Amino acid sequence: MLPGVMEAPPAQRCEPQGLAAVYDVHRAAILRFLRARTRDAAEAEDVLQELWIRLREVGGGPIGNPRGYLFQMANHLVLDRERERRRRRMREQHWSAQAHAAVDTADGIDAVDPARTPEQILSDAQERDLLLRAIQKLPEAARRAFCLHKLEELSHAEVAARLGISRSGVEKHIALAMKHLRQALPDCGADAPAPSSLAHGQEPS
Amino acid sequence: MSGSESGARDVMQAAMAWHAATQRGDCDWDAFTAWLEEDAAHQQAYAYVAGVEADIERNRPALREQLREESPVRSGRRRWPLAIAAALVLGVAIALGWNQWPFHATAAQEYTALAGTLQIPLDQGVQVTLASGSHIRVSGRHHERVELTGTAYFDVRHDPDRTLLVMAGGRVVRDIGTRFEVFGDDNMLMVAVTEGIVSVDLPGEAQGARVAAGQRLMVSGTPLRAEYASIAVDDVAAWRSGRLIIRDEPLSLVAAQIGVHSGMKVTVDTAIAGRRFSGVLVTGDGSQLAARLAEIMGLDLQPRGNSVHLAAKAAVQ
Repeated sequence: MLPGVMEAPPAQRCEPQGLAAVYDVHRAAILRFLRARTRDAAEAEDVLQELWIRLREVGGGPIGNPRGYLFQMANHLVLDRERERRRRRMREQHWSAQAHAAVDTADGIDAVDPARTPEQILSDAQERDLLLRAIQKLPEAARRAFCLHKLEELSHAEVAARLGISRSGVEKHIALAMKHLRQALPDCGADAPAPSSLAHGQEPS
Repeated sequence: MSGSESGARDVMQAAMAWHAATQRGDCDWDAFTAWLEEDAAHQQAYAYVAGVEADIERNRPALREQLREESPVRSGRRRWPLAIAAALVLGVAIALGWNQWPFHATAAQEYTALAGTLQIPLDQGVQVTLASGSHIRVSGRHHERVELTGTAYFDVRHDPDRTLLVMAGGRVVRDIGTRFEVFGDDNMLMVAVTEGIVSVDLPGEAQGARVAAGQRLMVSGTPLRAEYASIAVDDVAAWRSGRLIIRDEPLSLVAAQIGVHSGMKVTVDTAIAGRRFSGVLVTGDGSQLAARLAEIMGLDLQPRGNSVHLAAKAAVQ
């Protein structure tokens, strides 16, 4: 789960300072991944640039799988950007006076997780509510499998045992749940919501 | 929508499997790239899955609690011993004068910061910034009682007519008008003051211990020990801007604070609980904090179901 603590043969380990060299070797592969991941060449270049800058901030002990670590970092950067865009859209759709609540974010520290803006704080609660309501509306069997796996963190095998169905049945239920969520919450995750889904069914609370 | 339903579900299943692989750290990134390149629908499904999974992860404790079928009851760990509460009621009643005691107190309000910092403006010029994973229960007619589990920063407008009481880590912090951070969980307490003075009820100190701007009081250990230190005001509650700045704190206290930010209990082997730690940790979504701490201190990180345990590494060499 965390590359930093993953076991790996000593030869593959590297100190955080050594990441730059690993980056140089795998730059092309990472860029290719980013292009596939974002489907946007300019965005991919931006993320790669950001990755290069962030490498210097990596500290701590030896890194077990430096190549995987770089890909994972790159993937997280894309995820952060997608999330940021989604929040921006949410803000535009569900604007609320509360968003003006004064929050001191003027620290200027540009950490991996920079200061949260009032908008972020506001949309945290909205995000949770939307998610909760969407999960509640899932079909019964899919919802149970989904909750046991994603919320109670049981493995597929454990969920299967609990519900008395096969493992592949569990996977199908969970995938079905995810599909329903995607229809109910088109804004989540995916970058651009289909215009048709914005036209109806979006009731601001 | 093009494509059959079952086809779309296969893509979704594959996207979820890829997501799980990236999370485990054993992902074949080149194969993943190839899969993403194959079809725009793959990329969109993956982006969706990764986004929703991250949302779920951030909100897991709250969602779990609200969606759990069997037990609609709150997982009410009573951290606030009744005796102390009773003593407190008495103390507050005396402080306010009986006729002012809010018998008609408004219903208590609870707040939990689930993903990131939460700003809560209370009555009478009190602003609470709640750290991720922390919880407060606010009661009293004028919102003057705050029970805290976790970490919060208080900005209290000066008002000699009202005393804000923060109950945390089994103690009471009293404040008239200052800015300060409190962390409290189980028997541990940390109070750091950036402006003004607060008073903390400690056993055997009738007056309440005073903590002034630029000072920090820590109560931790077995047996419990109170410890004062000077601190840099700028380091206080740095989690508001995404980092935990820790200066010479016992590991038990550091682990407890990290546990709150990560939404997962972090326990420490008693043999190393008293070891000191200084450092800066980026909070992120909290999930990596315990691993980072273990990494920096060269400790062994042992997952134990819903918690993690930190212990000394078996000696090498």
